Amino acid sequence: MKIEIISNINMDSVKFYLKGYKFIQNCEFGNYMLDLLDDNSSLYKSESEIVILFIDIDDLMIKNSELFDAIEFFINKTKKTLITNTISFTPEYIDSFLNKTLQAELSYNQNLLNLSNKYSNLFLLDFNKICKFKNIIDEKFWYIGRIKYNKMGFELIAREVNKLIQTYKYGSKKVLVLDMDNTLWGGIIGEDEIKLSSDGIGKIYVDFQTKIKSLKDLGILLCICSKNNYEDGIKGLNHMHSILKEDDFIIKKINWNDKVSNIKEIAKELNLGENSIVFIDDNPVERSLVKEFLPEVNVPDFPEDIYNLNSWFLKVINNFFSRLNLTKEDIEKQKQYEAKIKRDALASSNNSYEKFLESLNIEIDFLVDDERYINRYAQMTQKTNQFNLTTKRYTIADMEKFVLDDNFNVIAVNYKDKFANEGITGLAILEHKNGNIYIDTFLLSCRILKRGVESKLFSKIEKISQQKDIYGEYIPTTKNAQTAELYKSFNFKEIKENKFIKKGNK
Amino acid sequence: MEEKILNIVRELFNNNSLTNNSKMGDIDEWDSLGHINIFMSIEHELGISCDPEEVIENDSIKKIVTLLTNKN
Repeated sequence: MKIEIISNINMDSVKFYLKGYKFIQNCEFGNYMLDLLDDNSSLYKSESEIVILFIDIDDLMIKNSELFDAIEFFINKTKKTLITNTISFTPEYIDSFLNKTLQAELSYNQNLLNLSNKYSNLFLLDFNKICKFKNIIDEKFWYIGRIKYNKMGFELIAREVNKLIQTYKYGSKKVLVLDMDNTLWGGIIGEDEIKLSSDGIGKIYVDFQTKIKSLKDLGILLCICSKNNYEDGIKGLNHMHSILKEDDFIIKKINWNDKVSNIKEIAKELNLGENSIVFIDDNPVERSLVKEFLPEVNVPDFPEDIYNLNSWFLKVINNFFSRLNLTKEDIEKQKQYEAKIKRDALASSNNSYEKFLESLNIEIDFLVDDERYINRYAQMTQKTNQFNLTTKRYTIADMEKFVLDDNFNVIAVNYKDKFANEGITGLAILEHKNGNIYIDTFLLSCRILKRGVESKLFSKIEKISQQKDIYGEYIPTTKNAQTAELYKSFNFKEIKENKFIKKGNK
Repeated sequence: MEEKILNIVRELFNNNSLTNNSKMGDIDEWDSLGHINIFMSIEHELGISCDPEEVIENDSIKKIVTLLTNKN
């Protein structure tokens, strides 16, 4: 980004402290009025994108109204962005007790504020903020070279300008959408004991949550978009160490729908553009999905090393959530949005999910009665809770028996996509009995849900069954509600409660 | 002292090619404005005050080092 500084005093030293920008220097200090008012001047023609007009009020020799006219003339004629400072008289001004100076200061700043509300390419640098620091002025350098500030002063000015430019460049986003498992806490709620604690690794997530909470206080709207059972997700937020509580989130999409649809709904329900959303998720597949189908949503990469989570998040805040202004309305808005959401009906889902699945290049292999991985099979029956129709737990010895017994088939799913080789992540156990097939176990690991794997696994079962009747059973637990309708979705008929049959041709 | 001064100047101008033999005019950044900023940094970092004449006369790393060593 190219920057140009104009001023009534010598402010060029700022360039030494604003690192990472290219400075263009065409204008001599003191000529700022001519530069602003002559639309043939080098200021208009230069390639700078941002012009900083720094006004030193103690040394301003013209009427305020003349200056404001010049500023307005310039911003009307240029496409450049203008940053100018509010003013603050030197503390020991002469007429301290007459209030004239105070009046002048207030009126100048008020006029400037009005202008910046009127023009979208005019931003204000709050100089009062800088003046709150002591010792920013050095009289000696003033007399050597009309340089008013010392190193400390220039550093502070540069810091504020940098923040302003970054915010202008990236804008401030309004909504933070968060995943839950391995994002708000370590581990998978409903499967493991989650990591969220006042020390150790769990503290990383507590600190992360604390920062998220402070964003909420800045007027940022918090939402959840997470693939969990709703009750499990809420349980996570009610965890004794959870800083973020249920009420902190304006919308909670805790369900098994694809995240693209969920985020679209969030944007719709909030009536905000997708570009005002920042989405944080540890899962690269989910991030890629959102990036691909909602290119306007901001999806920062998640840190590989969880110890960097908090420093990484500060950068995310800096990039996306610096505020050019925070008003009372921002805070009020949170309440308005809440009310709106209560009124509005939920939006419908989107149909491009299939396209996304295609783009993943999913490769599935089935291993039938393959003895090599019986440890993994047993482990899956022990650990899988959510996508597990019968939740039957088996030992390695059990699995060995199933694999070797001709009356049983063990079908394992080996899953791979363009992002990762997830390995053996699905399992079905079939029993051949009385000329029929009984599905004893049907489970998928959380990692590969919503990718259409279940229907592929079922097709494989149908192939093996060779047109025999297939019986399936759903045994409800507190965690597997999402699979209750699975057999119906495969066109099974319910013969008794939670018992299903699909007739073959034999 | 020499090392301190060199570090200050290098950091200010974001330029590591500067050496003990560098002087005003060697690089674009070290013009009269840059020169004043060197003294601004030195006064800030080392808490040493210099007269305007000293600022103007001592326009190379070597001269600055000698000046400040004598002041100490």
